[in-house]
Amino acid sequence: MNEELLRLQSVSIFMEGEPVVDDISLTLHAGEMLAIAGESGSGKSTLLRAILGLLPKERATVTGNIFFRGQNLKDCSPRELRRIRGEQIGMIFQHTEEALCPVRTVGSQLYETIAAHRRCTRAKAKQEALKLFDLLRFPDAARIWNSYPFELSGGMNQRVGIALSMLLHPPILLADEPTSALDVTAARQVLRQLLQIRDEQQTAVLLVTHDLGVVRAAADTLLVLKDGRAVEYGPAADVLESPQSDDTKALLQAAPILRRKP
Amino acid sequence: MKPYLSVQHLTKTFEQKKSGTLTAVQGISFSLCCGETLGIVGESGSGKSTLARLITRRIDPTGGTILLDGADITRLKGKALRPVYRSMQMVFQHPAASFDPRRTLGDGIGESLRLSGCSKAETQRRVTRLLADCGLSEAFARRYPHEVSGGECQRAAIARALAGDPAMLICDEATSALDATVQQQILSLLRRLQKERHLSYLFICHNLALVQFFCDRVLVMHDGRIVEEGTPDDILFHPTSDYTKELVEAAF
Ligand SMILES: Nc1ncnc2c1ncn2[C@@H]1O[C@H](COP(=O)(O)OP(=O)(O)OP(=O)(O)O)[C@@H](O)[C@H]1O
Ligand SMILES: Nc1ncnc2c1ncn2[C@@H]1O[C@H](COP(=O)(O)OP(=O)(O)O)[C@@H](O)[C@H]1O
Ligand SMILES: [Mg+2]
Ligand SMILES: [Mg+2]
Repeated sequence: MNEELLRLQSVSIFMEGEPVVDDISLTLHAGEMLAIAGESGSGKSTLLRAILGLLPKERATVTGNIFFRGQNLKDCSPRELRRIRGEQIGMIFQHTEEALCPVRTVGSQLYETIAAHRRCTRAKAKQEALKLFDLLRFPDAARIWNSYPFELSGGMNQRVGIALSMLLHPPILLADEPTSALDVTAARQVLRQLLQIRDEQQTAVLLVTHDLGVVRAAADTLLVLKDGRAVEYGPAADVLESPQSDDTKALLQAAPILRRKP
Repeated sequence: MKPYLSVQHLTKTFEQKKSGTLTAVQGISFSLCCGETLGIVGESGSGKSTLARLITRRIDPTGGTILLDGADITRLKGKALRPVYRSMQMVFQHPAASFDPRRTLGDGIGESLRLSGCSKAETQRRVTRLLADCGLSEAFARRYPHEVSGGECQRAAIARALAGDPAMLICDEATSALDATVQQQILSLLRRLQKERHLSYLFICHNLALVQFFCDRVLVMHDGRIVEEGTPDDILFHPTSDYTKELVEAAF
């Protein structure tokens, strides 16, 4: 087994006193893709935010432990967390607006983010970014670099957010519904890219999705959440083939299936 | 059936300082009948949302005509656009985007009613009615967007869109952020509302299985153009354009 990068021990989260995530434990290893599935409101995004220390302090209480390479993230100062975020644990947000600044071009944001983490010239950053844009199926990578977010489509902005987090090459990538705004051809390309960094750079990917087709195509392990609780956790193929809990069965049955040529 | 919306040779170009001219929508023509559900699928960046913004006159077309219920609305300005805005409403992917995070759902749903001169009591009565039509209890009027689930918020966004009694809804990936169970519930709700109110739908969606289940007819867009048009089964069982073939093959 590869190096263990992330370990959650009995993590519970309360928002304004209400339990939202209840006693979740999991581990994530280098080169592993762990999918978290569950209906909307089951606590998937909240769990990801807790890992990164991004929940609003006034409203949220997190109990339990979150170890990153043996260091408990819950004991980290805001400053230490800022250093870990992006560089050690990357995040692809569900709403790109959270990751992108509306009044600056994609290129200047990407360059600034990269330069804040490692020495890099603008030309080098651009070259790397354009290469990744091509892989993410952008028709005209150079135009994307020069555009403002409002000049791009929803799915383009989503892929810019993905490129932004990938360019920092973090050992762990948390991806919150990264293909929800994409047509299947672009979604396939994004998944292919996530699988590639998993296999070539041993990146650990924690992929939140409500799309079981995506889980089937990409995940090694699968955690199913229901009302903040883990109802199933194990090798993805096993869970999909022979789900133990009724909640997982319901989730699998609800997924719409494309009728193919009879 | 007579067309409710008819679009002819619609074109939109954008100027960008460094990249020059981009044609996002290139000579598109189609029509939508009363009570019909027309799906639009297509590659990310192919011009679907731009088309929606053109039709609803949020942005000005570079060329072409838009006929709404037989009237040319292509060049209308200012006050003359108000009935156009009322007849066509949008529902977006992120339901919370339809609401101000600091105000209640009830405030959001009633906003257009109050602006059009409804009394407070009348607005409240209608908001309750709209919520009920969308399967939500009266209590939801007092909740804030972050206090409800994605599915509930999307129901409230639909209630908001219906407040001005529109004839047509444009759903721009309105179900993409929802899980499968909630997607089905929202589609059933849209179906029922369509029957009750004789609504026409333009349904932009990248989930082919949902399009197959929900739409009467589908347009496939690629690079700003319509590359294929037909019933869902026509298109999904016998795709003719390269992009549609790729799309059907890539589907999970
Ligand atoms: N204000 C703008 N200025 C410049 N270009 C724009 C502007 N708005 C949209 N575009 C461009 O028009 C094209 C079509 O964008 P649009 O948002 O219509 O795509 P879409 O089909 O809705 O894609 P998605 O499925 O990703 O939402 C894209 O290339 C986009 O970058
Ligand atoms: N900032 C917040 N304040 C109060 N409740 C919140 C907040 N963020 C999330 N919640 C609640 O936590 C629950 C889980 O939400 P979320 O993690 O976004 O679910 P998912 O990502 O699985 O759809 C929901 O009931 C939601 O309303
Ligand atoms: Mg979420
Ligand atoms: Mg769009």
